[in-house]
Amino acid sequence: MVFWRLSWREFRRRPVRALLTLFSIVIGVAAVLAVSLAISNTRAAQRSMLKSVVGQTHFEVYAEGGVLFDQGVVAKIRQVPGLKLATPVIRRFTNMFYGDQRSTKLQYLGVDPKLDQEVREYKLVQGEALSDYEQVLLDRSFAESLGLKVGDDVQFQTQSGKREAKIVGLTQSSSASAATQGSLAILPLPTLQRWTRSGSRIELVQIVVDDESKLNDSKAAIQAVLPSDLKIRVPALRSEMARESTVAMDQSLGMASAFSLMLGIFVIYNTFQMNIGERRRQLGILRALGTTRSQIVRMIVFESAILGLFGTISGWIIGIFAARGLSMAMASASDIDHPQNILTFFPFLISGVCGLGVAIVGAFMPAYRASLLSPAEALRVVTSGNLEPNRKMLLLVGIVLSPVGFTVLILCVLGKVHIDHAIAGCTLFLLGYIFMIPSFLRPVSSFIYRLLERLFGVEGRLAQRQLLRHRVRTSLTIGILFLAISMGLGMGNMILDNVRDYRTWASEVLVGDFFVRSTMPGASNEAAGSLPSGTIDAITNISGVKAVDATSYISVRANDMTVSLIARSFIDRNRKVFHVSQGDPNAIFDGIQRGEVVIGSVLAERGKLKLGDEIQLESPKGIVPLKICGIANDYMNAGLTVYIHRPIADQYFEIEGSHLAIIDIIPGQIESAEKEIKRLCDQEGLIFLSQKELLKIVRSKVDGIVNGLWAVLGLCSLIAAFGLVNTLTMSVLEQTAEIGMLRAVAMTRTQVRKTVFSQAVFMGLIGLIPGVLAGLLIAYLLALSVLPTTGHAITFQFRPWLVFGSLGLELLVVLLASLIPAERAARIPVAQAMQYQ
Amino acid sequence: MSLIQIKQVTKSFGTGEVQVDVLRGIDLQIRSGEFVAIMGPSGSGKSTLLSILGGIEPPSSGQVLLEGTDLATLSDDDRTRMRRRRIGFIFQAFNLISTLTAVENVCLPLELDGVSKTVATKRAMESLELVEMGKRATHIPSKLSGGEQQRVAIARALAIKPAIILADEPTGNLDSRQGARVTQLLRDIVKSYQQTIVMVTHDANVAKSASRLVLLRDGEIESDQAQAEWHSDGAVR
Repeated sequence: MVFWRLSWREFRRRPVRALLTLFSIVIGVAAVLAVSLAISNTRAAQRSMLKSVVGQTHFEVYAEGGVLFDQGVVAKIRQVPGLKLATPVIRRFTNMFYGDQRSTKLQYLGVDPKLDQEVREYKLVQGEALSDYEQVLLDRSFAESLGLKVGDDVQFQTQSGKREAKIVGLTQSSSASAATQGSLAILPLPTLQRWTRSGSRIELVQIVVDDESKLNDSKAAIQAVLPSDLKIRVPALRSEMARESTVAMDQSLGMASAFSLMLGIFVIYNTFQMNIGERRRQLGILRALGTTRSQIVRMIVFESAILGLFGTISGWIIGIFAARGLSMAMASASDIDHPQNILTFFPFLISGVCGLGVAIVGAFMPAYRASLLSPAEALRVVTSGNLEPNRKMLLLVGIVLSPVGFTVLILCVLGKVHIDHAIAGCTLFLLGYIFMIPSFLRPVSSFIYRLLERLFGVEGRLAQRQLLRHRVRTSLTIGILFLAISMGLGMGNMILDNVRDYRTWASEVLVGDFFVRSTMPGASNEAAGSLPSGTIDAITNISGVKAVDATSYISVRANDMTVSLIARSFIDRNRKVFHVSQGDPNAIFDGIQRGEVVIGSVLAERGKLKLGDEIQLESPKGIVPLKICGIANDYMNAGLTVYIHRPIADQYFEIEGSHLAIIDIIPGQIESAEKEIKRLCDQEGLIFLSQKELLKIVRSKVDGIVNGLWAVLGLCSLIAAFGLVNTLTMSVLEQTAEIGMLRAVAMTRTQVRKTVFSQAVFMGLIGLIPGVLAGLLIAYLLALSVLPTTGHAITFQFRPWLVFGSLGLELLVVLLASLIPAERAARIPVAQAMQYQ
Repeated sequence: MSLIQIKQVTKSFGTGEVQVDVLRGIDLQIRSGEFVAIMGPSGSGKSTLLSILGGIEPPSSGQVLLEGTDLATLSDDDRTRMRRRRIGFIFQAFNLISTLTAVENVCLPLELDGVSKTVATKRAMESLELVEMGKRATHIPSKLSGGEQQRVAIARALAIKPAIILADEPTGNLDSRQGARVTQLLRDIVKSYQQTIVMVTHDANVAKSASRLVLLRDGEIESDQAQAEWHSDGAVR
């Protein structure tokens, strides 16, 4: 009890110190939670989207290339024993028009209303079930976000033009794993069959089995009754490409998450080191009065546990709000609608361990060291550097960690280790460096002092000595700055390299005067809606139209991978269609005409396919081996693409309509043709884009991703700034008596400020300059490490504006962060300060 | 003319019912070359008076004139400059910067005042030699004994060639042998350089070194006598 009272008095005696400690936990926990939750929310939203379509389905029966097939097969499947249900489905991406001609992209499902609820686990929360043709069910939260209610009419872009349906009911997911059905419209199957002119054909049969332990038996039994052109698969396979398309973002966020965790741990640990160090004298008095070592340790660990608990809970609350904003940014970048802020356990666990765990460990180590001091030692007014960890040990750890991390990065570059491990490599590499800082702090800081002696003056010398007084603490703060800039530069440069590469690709490949499509382009072209039948002919017949390239995207299996087959009309030898990485562009055109294909570099790398090899495409007519005449750098569907001449594709795949019309206009007739095509698009509810507009959309999509990542980097910079404010303020608190004496003897307020600024500048220069170099090295290695995974090297570019801009910005942050502690030091009342203990 | 003159100085801490009047209308004049000891029981206001003399704390009322300049009329920075050029401080706890060597500690006020490092070091070494610490100039405080640390602190005070040295219990943290050595040093400084010193002390033996004794009680001057008078009065026992 007496110790609890002592701790409480200590909090009250030094409220600023206690609050700084608390804030460091809060911000560390909030950052880790926000980033982790945002990642898990984005994943959950992706899963939720998939789940809302797939539901409980164990298997899907489909035809290669998404070809429609007769629904008569459903009856055959239902006869297979052990099946709970088998229901026919058509699904399409399209635009839904509502209100005053506003529109949104969604997926609409044609289902059997009687069975659907058993597959997709939703309940009707408003209105009634589907009972007639032109009726639609929407997810309640989705409808509310659009301002729609039961009884409203909406229109859908279909292959037979715009079609109207009435909202008869609103649904809510009853599945634990799918919080929302998202942007999904459910309509009766016959309605969609009519709208899509599919007759009695369907796209899928979704099957739920009775006994999950006999999945293999059920699959074999279903397979046995299927005609040869139909296949059976586990639904998750569809998500492969969606996952591929977000690999780069996952990589960046994973890295940001690892860094925010490290920063959080550093800030919390450092604050406790300072807190205990400053109380050393008080602990000495306690020891002198008969407090045992274990009592000292217990008291401090208890204090830190209380602070850790409060800080963690507060950090969680702030983190939940921050995660919401971050999730929205990530969702918009990943083409996900309405992500929910789902509070999953794991992010709380990680951030809780970071907050509470690090608080306890961070307090235990210096407390344990303090308890080892004899009362006489503890009472001496000398530096408390001996409370810090052993520098030689840290150096040894650093010497081991850095080369290990560097080796992992090199192995990633060589393709010997998967690129996912690059994050671990970076982390080890940077951590190793931070562990080594205490050992070279003295020579480096002396060198800087000599270099800038005129600028620093005697205040600089005082600042340098103060930093050397607590080398590990100083090093951790330097480490925070080092991490912030190396991560900022490394990731920033990587992002910019990727964006530049993507934009180059887009401007070279997305060539045409005009583009017509039914839905806006998304992360994956698999999600493209079909153009109404007759659209291509109607555009071709418009006066001034030179040529129309009718492009279709379908998913097929090739070499045991799900790839996107892109069928185009290759009609103009001079038109650039690919960003070729292997193969002669002229020979490629001839090869394509002969029935050969061009594949994306990622597919080539994954399938170990080379120029001249044959790729095995699974078609409704069996396996089709097609020779590869070119390999292209491709961002479409994450590079898992096969480009084929449309007439050839039509031979093997029953391609249903087109998803995109790329239109060339005869020179001089642009304006008149544009007017006519626009009129057609308005009539059919289609999207009309000039090349400039299309590139603008593509760029804005990329900008969304880039902005999301900059936001994460900004957050890390904020943590670094906070870490610095914390260290400097604690340092000022600790030096209160000394500052008081200096003020009494000789120092003006300006000189006090200059001393604190000098400390910040020392830490800034020691952390930031190597941080810039490490950041550039990381960016360079990350750019190289993409090659083994994607088959396409991203060229590293040195950007002086980014390097010097980041350095200048971080130095500014350093100076701004030192403003408060500097002012606090300058305002210390001299007489009181001299009594400070 | 008086080096320091304080007129009707009061100092109170707190307000209302918890107000404590530490000094109650002190008048005091100190001439150049005097060695003044201030004594009094705990809470009599000795250290507060010293802080006010040094411009560290402002009085609640009254005037403090150092060489004719009213400290209250100066800005904080000007007061600081006045302190570092004209007032030397010696503290009970030595208050050396633990990370600086002895010579660097002595240089500090000079360098902060813009004196070049070379000149500052030369003057610092002279001061250290004066207090017989020249051979220990490159040691950091933790490697020095208490008496040695206090001698470095005296060297620091002397280095600026101050008009007055204010010493707050300079022997309070020292054993009797080291305390006697420091006291002798202060006496020599006064004798050799006509240095003005105002010293707060509890120790009657230390006070005996001074040429004048001011006794404080409850924030007021109880007696103010020259050495000859208080020796005969037996004011200090």
